[in-house]
Amino acid sequence: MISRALLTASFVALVSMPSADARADGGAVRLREAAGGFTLTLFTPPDPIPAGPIDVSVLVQDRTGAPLLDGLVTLRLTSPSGDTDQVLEATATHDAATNKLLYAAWVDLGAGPWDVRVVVEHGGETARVDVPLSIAPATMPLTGYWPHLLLPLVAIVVFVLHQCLVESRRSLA
Amino acid sequence: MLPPPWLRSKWFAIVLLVGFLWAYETFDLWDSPWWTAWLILAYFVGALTVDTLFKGASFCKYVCPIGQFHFVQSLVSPLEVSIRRPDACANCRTHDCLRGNERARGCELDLFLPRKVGNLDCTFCLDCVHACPHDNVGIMARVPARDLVWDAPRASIGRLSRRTDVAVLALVVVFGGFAGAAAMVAPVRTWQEAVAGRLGLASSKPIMSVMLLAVIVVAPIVFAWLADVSARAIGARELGRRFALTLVPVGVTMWVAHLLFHLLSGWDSVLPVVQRALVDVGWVRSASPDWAAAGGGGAQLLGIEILLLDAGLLVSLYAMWRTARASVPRPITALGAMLPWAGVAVGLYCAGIWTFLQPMQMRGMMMR
Repeated sequence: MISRALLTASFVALVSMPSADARADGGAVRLREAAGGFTLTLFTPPDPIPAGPIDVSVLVQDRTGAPLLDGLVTLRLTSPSGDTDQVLEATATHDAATNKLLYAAWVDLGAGPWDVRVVVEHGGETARVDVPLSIAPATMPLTGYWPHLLLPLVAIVVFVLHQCLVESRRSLA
Repeated sequence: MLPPPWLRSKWFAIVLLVGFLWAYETFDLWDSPWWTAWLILAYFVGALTVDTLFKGASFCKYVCPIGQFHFVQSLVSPLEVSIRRPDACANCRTHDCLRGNERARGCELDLFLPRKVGNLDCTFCLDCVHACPHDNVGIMARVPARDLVWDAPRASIGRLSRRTDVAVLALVVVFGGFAGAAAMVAPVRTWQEAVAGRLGLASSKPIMSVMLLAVIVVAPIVFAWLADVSARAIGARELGRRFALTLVPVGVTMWVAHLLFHLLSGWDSVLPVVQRALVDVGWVRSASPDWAAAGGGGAQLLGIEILLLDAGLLVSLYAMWRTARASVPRPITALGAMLPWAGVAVGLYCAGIWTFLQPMQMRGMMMR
């Protein structure tokens, strides 16, 4: 009973070791909004988004919910940086998207607050939405996980020592 | 009638499994309800045809790629359908667990319970449990991964150390776990697009195909050959096949970590999906599903994934050591024999850790 409790406690302790947040399956929905004649959905990686290249994907649907695949989607990302704003522009395309219903672009963002403006043009109609994004400083992803990675090494060393003791006892006998 | 000799092994199922793993990523089957429906239909037609033409559960045993996938995973299961008391079987003359009776069919997969070892080829249908008139068969606890180090003769299977097809199947499942996960991360997809662009290809599918086939087919063949050569060198030819099986724990934990990632990171999409379903069936008149509530991911997920892979690596290394020691008397020779396979296990472990740290490609699944 005691050993089982110890085992459970060890597992809980190991799982609770310091760690950063994990990434989600394909990102999080940042916004889903009706704009003009469209419904726009914006995907980004889930929080916290580390500084660096990130995938910004957009789903454009018409009023019936059908995806529109022949539109033009541009992204304008603005971040206040000192006296002047830092501005990035990118065209989101199906080629850059994994799910070909989406329009995607990879943009390299530094840490800090960003405003993402999505502009969609289709059939003479234009719609735009604005979404704030907060980018966290880039971190070494493994920094928080060294105890997890050390575990096999420790276990192997203990096992090797155990086997050495067993063998030496066997040879003495 | 009996299935033809060429079907009575795992080779055909291995080809189907490789084909499925390749097609799933190369043609984005996850993105195509159309292909998913056809696959399911083909599966049922295939199962009905094979089991109509041939006796026994030939489809489960020789054809079904999903079944083979689970058979390999079950090598590290903590549960097993087995007998309770050997003496009850020793006195049994009817062998109902195999032949069946009026209460239940016997084992369609030809597994005679007193000589059954481990879960390989067992579908857990429990026909044998219901058929046994002595109430001597049940689901029993056992030491996980014991199958990997115990090379006893098995009913209908024989010794695993003599089954090259089972060893290759295990390698395909193990390497498939790492290749499948790596194929889903953004840097690998970006790299494939870049290579395709440099080669002037219109699509990255050929690059994906080459990558997957290199990892799932070529790597297992190369490692199996190297294992055979090194095992012959120390005069224990059958060790190669047994070492191939010892990679199963690290492969299984990679699959578990991978699938757990999808399950936990998509878990919070339950709410908007239910909202949408309620609107679709008309129980709620108008409500906009809160899609932004989904896709947050689990805070401790990466830690759990690494710990799972830690456990898989350690069990694999331990199984290698036990396997080597059982065949080679001197510890230092045993260590030398297992070292190449330990290197493979550590290499797979590092590949798994790298994969966990990469961002998953943007699939936008929750909006479909």
